[in-house]
Amino acid sequence: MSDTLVTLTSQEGKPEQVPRRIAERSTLLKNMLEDVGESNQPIPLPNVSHKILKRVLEYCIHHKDDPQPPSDDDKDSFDSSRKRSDDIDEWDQKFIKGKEEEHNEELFQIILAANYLDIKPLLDLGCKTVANMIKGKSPEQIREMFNIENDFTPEEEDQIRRENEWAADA
Amino acid sequence: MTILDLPIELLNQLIVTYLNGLDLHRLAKTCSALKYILTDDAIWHRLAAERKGYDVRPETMTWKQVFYTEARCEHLFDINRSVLQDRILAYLEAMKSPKTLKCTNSNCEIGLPDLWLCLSKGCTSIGCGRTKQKHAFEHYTYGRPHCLTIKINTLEIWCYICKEWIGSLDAHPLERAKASHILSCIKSASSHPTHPLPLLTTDISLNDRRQKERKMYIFGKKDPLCFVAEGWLDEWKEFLIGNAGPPGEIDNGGLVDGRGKFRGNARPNLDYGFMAEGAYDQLVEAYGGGPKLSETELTEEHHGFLIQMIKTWRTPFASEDDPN
Repeated sequence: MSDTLVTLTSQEGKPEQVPRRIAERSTLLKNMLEDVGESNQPIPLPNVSHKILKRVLEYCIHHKDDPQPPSDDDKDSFDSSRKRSDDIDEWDQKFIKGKEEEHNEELFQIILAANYLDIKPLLDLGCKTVANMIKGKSPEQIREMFNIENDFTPEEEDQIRRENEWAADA
Repeated sequence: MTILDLPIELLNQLIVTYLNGLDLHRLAKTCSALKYILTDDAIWHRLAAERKGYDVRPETMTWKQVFYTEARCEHLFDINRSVLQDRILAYLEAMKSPKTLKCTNSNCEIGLPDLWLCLSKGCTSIGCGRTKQKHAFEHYTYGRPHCLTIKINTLEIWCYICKEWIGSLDAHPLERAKASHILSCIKSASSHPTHPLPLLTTDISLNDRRQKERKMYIFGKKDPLCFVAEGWLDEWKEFLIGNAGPPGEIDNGGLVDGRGKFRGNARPNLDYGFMAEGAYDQLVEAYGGGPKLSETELTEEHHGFLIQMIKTWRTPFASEDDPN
């Protein structure tokens, strides 16, 4: 039964067929498919462009045999391993890197899609990647990397410059 | 598309889960939107709680300050909500029959007040104190890292790794807030109307006084000394470790002769003990009594042995004296 094909329709209305097992890496789709039961009805995904959908599916196909991650409720307590971001495996790193020239644009869209489709490991991968990009960078470098506009007034700018990195927190 | 186009929950999640203090600081300097997000104490609350386990905030601090604090006893913050709930149940279970409650070491018959409940989740150990058979300490030695234990009678916490009372008066406000949170949770669970359990810890209110006076117990080689009847000191020690209420007046009557002078034949560590003069003065203010027997009143004629003993004690070892 898991070998049945599911049709997903991207933002552009373009259908994409995938085995149900692959689609179920997405908790959103898994729940929908369980609710609907056997059906040939295509599932519309108005929030995901076809290009990003293909990328997300590429991830799901590679990770099709991974165990399902534990749900948040199972987590007993605060778990210090959660804050690690240096534990990304090689395939994932290559995958999330994508094409150099449109890297950031695509990265954020993959994060949004993973969030919408509820694919926890992919969302974590995206967030870890962004965190790794921020780590150790100066404010100027962060602005440049993410195309953030510096909208501080000259006075605020001055105040920020005078602030010692740790003074505010010591 | 930039980082600012992410929904706020996602952005918060990213910040809270993966970034460290310095990165957050720099991120806040990039633009006003990110600065604004990182000014909100709610995000620092999440950071403190999720990243460091600091789930309490002293009134005098912001969550941001809490996040940047390094607690002295990290072990204390392993006691999260679920551990605490588990320990409250263990406490209530133990207190169902306080009269028959005993040290869980199979050969030990010691009961309250000198019993300690291990604060590790799921642990069933209740051990007797160090002045008894040390089974609480033994449990830590063999059960590492079960390092935190709570005195059932006073709800004060001891850490075997830090070798200190945790959350005392002089502790960091964060540590103190956490310890008093644990205390008040246990206290309110014990006095819940559906659990009509006797709360033996009637003198919790004296904990602050205990903590203050524990510091007086310690004295250094440079402090001028006073002498106090051993019987009173024993009672005072029992109070300090939470086994009893405060002692009565200081009674040095047995240490003086007919002329009211310090008896030359009183025996150190049997009839009397030592204390810093400063501490003695404070204790007399609190407890009353006397008379004061201070080092300055000793005479070579009556107290030669004692004078010699103090002198030897004060003489530094050669290695202490000479850095080479």
